[in-house]
Order: sequence, then C-alpha cells, then structure tokens
Amino acid sequence: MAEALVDKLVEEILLRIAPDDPTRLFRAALVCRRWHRLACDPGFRRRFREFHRRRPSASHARLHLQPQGPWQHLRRRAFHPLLDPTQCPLHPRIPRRASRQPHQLARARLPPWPRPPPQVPLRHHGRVGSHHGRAGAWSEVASAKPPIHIYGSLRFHQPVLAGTALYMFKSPGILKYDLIAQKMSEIHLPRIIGMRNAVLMTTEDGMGFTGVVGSTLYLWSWESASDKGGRWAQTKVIELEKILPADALLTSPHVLGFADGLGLVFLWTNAGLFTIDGKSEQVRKLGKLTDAHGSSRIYNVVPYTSFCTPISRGVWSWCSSY
Amino acid sequence: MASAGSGDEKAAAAAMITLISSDNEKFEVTEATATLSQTIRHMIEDGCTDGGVPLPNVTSKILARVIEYCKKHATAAAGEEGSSSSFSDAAFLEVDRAFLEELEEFDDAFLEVDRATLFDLILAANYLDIKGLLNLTCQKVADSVKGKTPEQIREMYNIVNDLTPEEEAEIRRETQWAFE
Repeated sequence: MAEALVDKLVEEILLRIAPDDPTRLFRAALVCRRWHRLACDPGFRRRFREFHRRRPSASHARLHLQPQGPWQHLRRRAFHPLLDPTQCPLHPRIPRRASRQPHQLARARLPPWPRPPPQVPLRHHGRVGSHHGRAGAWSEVASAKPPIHIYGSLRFHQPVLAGTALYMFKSPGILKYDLIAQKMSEIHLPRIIGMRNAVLMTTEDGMGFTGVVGSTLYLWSWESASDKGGRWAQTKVIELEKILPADALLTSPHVLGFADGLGLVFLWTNAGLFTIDGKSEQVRKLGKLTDAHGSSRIYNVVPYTSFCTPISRGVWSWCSSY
Repeated sequence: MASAGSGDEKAAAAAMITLISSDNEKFEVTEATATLSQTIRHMIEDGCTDGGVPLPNVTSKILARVIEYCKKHATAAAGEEGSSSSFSDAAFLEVDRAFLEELEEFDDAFLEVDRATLFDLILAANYLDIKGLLNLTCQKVADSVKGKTPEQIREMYNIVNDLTPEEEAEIRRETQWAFE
C-alpha cells in the first residue's frame, strides 16, 4: 500500500508528523530503509523545521481587566495615609512637604474620607478578547455575566490552551475562556489544604493542574461533562519521598512548570531541579544551578521543544529565570 | 458559480468540464470545482479540455470522492470571496466561523475511509495537484503514527522491513532515548 507512494509523497507524510513528541519521527524512521533515508536527509530536516515553524497558531487572545464596582474606594484605601504613608504623595490634598516625612502623617489632620474603605479586596471584571487570525480583526469583547470576581491578580504567566479554550489561574479558581463561543466562565478548584503552588497543564481530555502538598505531588484533571459543569478527578498521587533523594525534601518542593506533550512536571527542590514523568513517575535530575549570590532558587521554567529529526540529535530543553 | 441561476444558458454550459476516469466513467463538474486541481486548471488555460479530460491514473471510485471534496471546498471558497468584500468585524467572524466549522466537519467525515482508499486519495491529490486535499490526507496518515511502534506502523501500512537486524540495532542504539 505505502509502497505505491513515490519518495516525494512519503516525505509529505513524514513532514507532517507532529514535532512536539520527537519520538514519533524517530520511530517512523525505523519503519524501513526508505523512510529512514528520507527522514535523515539534510534537506528533509530543513523542510521539517520550516514546515512546523511556519504553521501559525489559529488565534491569540488578549485579556483586559476592567475594574468594576467599588474601584474608587479601593484606590482611596490604597492611598489612605494611615494604611500606606508612602503612597501619600499621590494624594492631591496632602502637601508635598508633609509627604516627605511619612512618620508625621499620622498627626496631620487630613480630611476624613467620605465613606470608609470597603472591606472587599481588589475586584475586577474580567474581559477577554480573542484575535481571529484570518480576518485580522479583534473579536467582540466578551464579558462574563454575572461578573467573575478576581481577588488579587491573575497569574498570567501560565495560561494553557486545551481544546478550544484558554485557561488561567485566577484567585481563587480558574478562568476559562472558550475561543469559539467567546464565553468566559469560572471553574472552582477542589479543596486542597496546604497546596502552596500549582501549575496548569494540558491533559489527554483537556485541562488539569499539578501541585505539591508537603512531599506529595498531586495531578488533577478537569472532566467537563457539559458547557456548564464538570468535575475534578485526582489522576495521580506521587509520593516524592519514594522517588527523590532525601536531601531534596528538606524543604517543601515547588512545582515550576509542565511540559505539554511530554507530560513532564518540573520540580524545584533543595537539591536541584527535577523532572517527573506524570505517568511513569520516572525522575530525572536536571542539575543544580547557582547564581552569583550562591542562591539556587529557581522561580520559573519555560520548557520548549527543539525540532528533533533523526541524525540531528537534539533533545527537548528548558530555560529558567532566577 | 455557473449554477448561480444566471439566465445565460450558454455561459453555464461552457463552464462545465467533463472528467473521464481510468475506467471510462464520465463526471460533469463546474469549472470552479475542477480548477481546484492545478493540473486541470492548466489544461483549461491551455484550452485542451474539449471532449473531456482523461485521467488515466484515477479510478471512478476515487474520482467521485475527489469531486465531492472539490465541490465542497469550491463552495467554501466562493462563499469566502463573497463575504470578504463586505465584511465588518463581528458579522464576518460569525459567517467565517460557521464556514470553517462546517468545512472541518466535512473534512473529518471525508477522511473516514479505509487505508487503501486514503493512499489512493493521496496519489490522486498529487496527480491532480490539489494542495488542500494532499495536505488533508497526508496529515491523516502522519497523525496515525502517534503512539505506534515501528512494527505497528509497518503492519498498518503493509510495509516490508528491509533494514537488516544490524542496521536496525545500530539506529536503535543511536536513538535509544526515543524507544524508552
């Protein structure tokens, strides 16, 4: 069957093998002598890189947050001299001279605020717009009804795209933006006591997150039953004591990132950076990096896949920020 | 398109092309449908389509499928042109999205064929030079190797392993990490 295809057509097929899992192309190269020859050809390698680099993402989204409700009060609270004297220079009614001596401010007789600051924390009304790649125009801005409240800030650095929806952590919970329906909704997190940090990840069926409590790594996945609802399922519980060296657990490890497609969790520990395979629990130590001040703490990891073709033995890599 | 209901019977008739499969079956298609194939487009431009276009490499079974694909995608292309001239943000996006979704559904259903037919479609798409169809069918085969071992790929596509055991062992040794 496949023998009927000329080299050019076999190459067209090999070109389209997804690069996010490099093992696929390597396995295909072992099928027969012809497939191996084609996959190892330098021209093919170049075209493979070009083909996958050129493919544009379908769309990109941007997010605006629009303050709603008691925003004015919050500003006032933030600038209230008794709460935060350093902010006073911004207040037009406080003389500049006084503002330079914050300790005196408590004594300065400031006009009372019209109303006491509200007890609610910062509150935003999220608005997300997605950019439609083909039309070159921004879509209508979507707003959630009822408004989704965000206490604190969104963690912009780790949104994930799963299926046709974009997910990002908000505090508390997860904000979901459906790119097709252009609708926003909110997913509540399961109650987990003591989880200090977590990262979103893509799963086979959609989206999930992973995080550490004490010395246990948890993986959860969201099983969406319909547009409206779904439920959380704990897909994996990994006891880190069993798989990591003892010195790694002197302090609680931190989940830094997740490599999509490979299912690898990046974990910073006292003893260095590790990856853990979310399925097989296989552990790999990536080493310990120390900066000029002797600190080995890593706060963020950006996994990326280099284009891997047979012969050019690249492997996926990662970079980190201190 | 010719079928748009213009009163000009002659123009409509002139825009029809006859395609002849390897087993001598004739298919009447509109020019818009036929010109999705670059090969046929060139023939039309050269004015050598009178009396039908013989396609000795394509059987009637495969040609019928290819025409089905071209008809759908020619309609979509025509619709796209129509709407892009007067698009205004939201309305255009709405139409555009509906189009793309419908086309995607069509393509998915179109690819529900056995492997032999899929390979015949690749050959036909290549011979007729229909880029969209070639991309679609090759992508389908490329996606099918996901999670498969070399043995399973060979079995799926009836490929004879002509690598000697030594060669295979050598390649496996070099790329051990891919097989762990």
